[in-house]
Amino acid sequence: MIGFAGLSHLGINTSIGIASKGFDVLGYDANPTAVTQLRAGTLPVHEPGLQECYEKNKGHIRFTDKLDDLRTCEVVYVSLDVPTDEHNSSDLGPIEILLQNLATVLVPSTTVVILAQVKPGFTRKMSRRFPSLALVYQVETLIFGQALERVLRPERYIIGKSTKSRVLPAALTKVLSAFDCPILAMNYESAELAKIAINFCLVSSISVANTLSSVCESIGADWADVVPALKLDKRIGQFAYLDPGLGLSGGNLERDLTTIKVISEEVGCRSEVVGAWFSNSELQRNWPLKKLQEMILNQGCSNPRIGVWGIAYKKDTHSIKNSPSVWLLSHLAPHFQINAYDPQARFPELNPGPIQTKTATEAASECDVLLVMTPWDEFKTADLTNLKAMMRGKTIIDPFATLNAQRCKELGFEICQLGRPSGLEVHHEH
Amino acid sequence: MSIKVMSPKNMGGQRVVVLGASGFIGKALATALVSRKATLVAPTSKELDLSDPQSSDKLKNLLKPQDIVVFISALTPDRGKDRNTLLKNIQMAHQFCNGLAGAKPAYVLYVSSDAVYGDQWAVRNEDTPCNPSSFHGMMHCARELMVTQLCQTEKVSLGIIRPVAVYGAGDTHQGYGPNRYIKSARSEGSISLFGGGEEKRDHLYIEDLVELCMRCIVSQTSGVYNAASGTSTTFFDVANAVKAVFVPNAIIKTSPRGGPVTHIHYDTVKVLKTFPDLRMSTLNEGLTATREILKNN
Repeated sequence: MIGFAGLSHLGINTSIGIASKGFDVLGYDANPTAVTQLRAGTLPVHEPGLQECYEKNKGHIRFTDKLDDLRTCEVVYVSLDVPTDEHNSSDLGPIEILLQNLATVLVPSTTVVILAQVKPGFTRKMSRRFPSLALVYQVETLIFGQALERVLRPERYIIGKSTKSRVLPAALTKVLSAFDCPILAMNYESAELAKIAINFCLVSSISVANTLSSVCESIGADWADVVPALKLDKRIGQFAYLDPGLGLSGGNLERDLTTIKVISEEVGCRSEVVGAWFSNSELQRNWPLKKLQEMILNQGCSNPRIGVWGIAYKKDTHSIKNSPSVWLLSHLAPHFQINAYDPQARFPELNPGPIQTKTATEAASECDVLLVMTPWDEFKTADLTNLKAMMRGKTIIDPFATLNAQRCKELGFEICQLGRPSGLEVHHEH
Repeated sequence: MSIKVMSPKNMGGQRVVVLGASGFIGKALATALVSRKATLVAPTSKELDLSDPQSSDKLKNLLKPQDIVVFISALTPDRGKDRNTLLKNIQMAHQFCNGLAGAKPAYVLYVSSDAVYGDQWAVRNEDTPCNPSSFHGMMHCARELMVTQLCQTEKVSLGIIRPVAVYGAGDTHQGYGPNRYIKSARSEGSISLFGGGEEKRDHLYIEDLVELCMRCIVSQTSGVYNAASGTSTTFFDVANAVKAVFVPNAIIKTSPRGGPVTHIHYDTVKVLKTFPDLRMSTLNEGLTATREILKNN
């Protein structure tokens, strides 16, 4: 029996994914209401393929709100959400409490796998505090919108043990081996840092894309033409993350940058590059606002009606954590009329706030400018001819290149996208 | 006495004390305040000289509770760039703070300068560290801190505005840039550039600065704001713009370059976020408006 303590987004996806390999799974959560809903087959999270996978494998999955029931498990994953505050600091208190409770019910032969994102040093500290727990750390690689896929087809497992030479428990090895991917075992601290290192490399890549795409816009280059040249360089690679964006969002990248900044300050390492990345992120966040000023407000339209497609921080999620769209709307809503649409996310209650519409059409109807703030697939397939007819203005601010710029221009739109020369002659009169 | 209900167009008789109303910026701001129905109190330097050690008492007697106070008075670089000028300017701020203490104003606006940033940063916003390389910049850094600490102690809202080079019809300083170019084009028929005029700088039309000040005053917005147009232009292009607007056949003279080319740009998104409907003039618009004023005077 494989147990999960904490039925978070991560816990639900991972437990169902492991059940699909034939393992019997027991999911525990302290919230009895959540457990009741799960028992009724109502999954509280949405991920592509998740419901279908659950339906197919529900014979292998049980849910409980009794911690004692985990006693029968050979492996227990600690899969709580780790909340971050407005300073991007993690609150690991709930994990500590859960481990304390597990220490009172589990037998010493049970392997406890910390699957949550923690600071380097945390697992070692917990292993000293709860010596009866056989602790292992496993890097989690949750990506909203791809969660189940990443459980079923992991690229590799990164596992932290108390010492590098220690042998992995057989029960855990059996689970990991079912997924046919490399298992990289190291000590606790290396594994904890590995997750952060992955995110550092991603942020570095994103910051390069942001910086250079901004230069592209100013000098008439097209970042979309530059990227293939980079990806064909083996040192950079075909899967390098080189799309410019509107700043770091979602919470995880920001949290990991902050963790290293704090550790560096404690131990005396230099980490100024982290500050530069945060600055870069903040500058990118301003891009739609600056384009709105350049293309609309400075062109004589001082009170535009604004349409917004997308509120979530990225597509295929309802999460608005650090969402650039929410940030933008909260600044504009007090001054302008805004209609906003998102397939899943809800805008927080704000007075004044934007009007959240039920359809993309309603949001775009009669607007002077449309901002496509989240690259949902439904926007990619929007009828652009229809869009032109329903808008009052002809300006589209499309940072993620969700719409076909060429087609938009043919229809008479003025469109700007990150890293692309706009083709719009903005006159700086002299 | 309570703060008046104000709108950007009608300040409803609200008392606004402007220290430094005889200078280029102060005069323009004072004119705007009067036109928008503020009750302007603008002591001359004869009536209230902040370099006088007794001036804080005079200021205290002048101020009433719930006044809005604008502090612009300073000895500008054309009146001295040395340590003595630095000390005089700081002494003025010292007297100002002593006079303000206990006066219970509703809001204070301090007009500083982009000189606080020094020469190091090519792209600036309000988070750019202050690193002055001149006594003028250092003076404003010190004064900002003095006024900030006082307002924190007195629990008074404080706005600080850091303008870039400001141009317009009432300029008296003739700093290098549009103001000097206008004067020399009109009086000598030529404009002299340092080097080839390759450096890019931001220049702000005076009425745009005044409008930003008014917005801050009316809404009692606290915090630091850079006052810039958001568009940096080479001095060469500025000279050509002045030539086109004022003296089409003026000669633009270049000179051998004395140092490396540096550029300075301002990210004005903080003003944009706070006042999204505030639009700054283009260089051509500002120069044209300046020409019309000079023509009529």
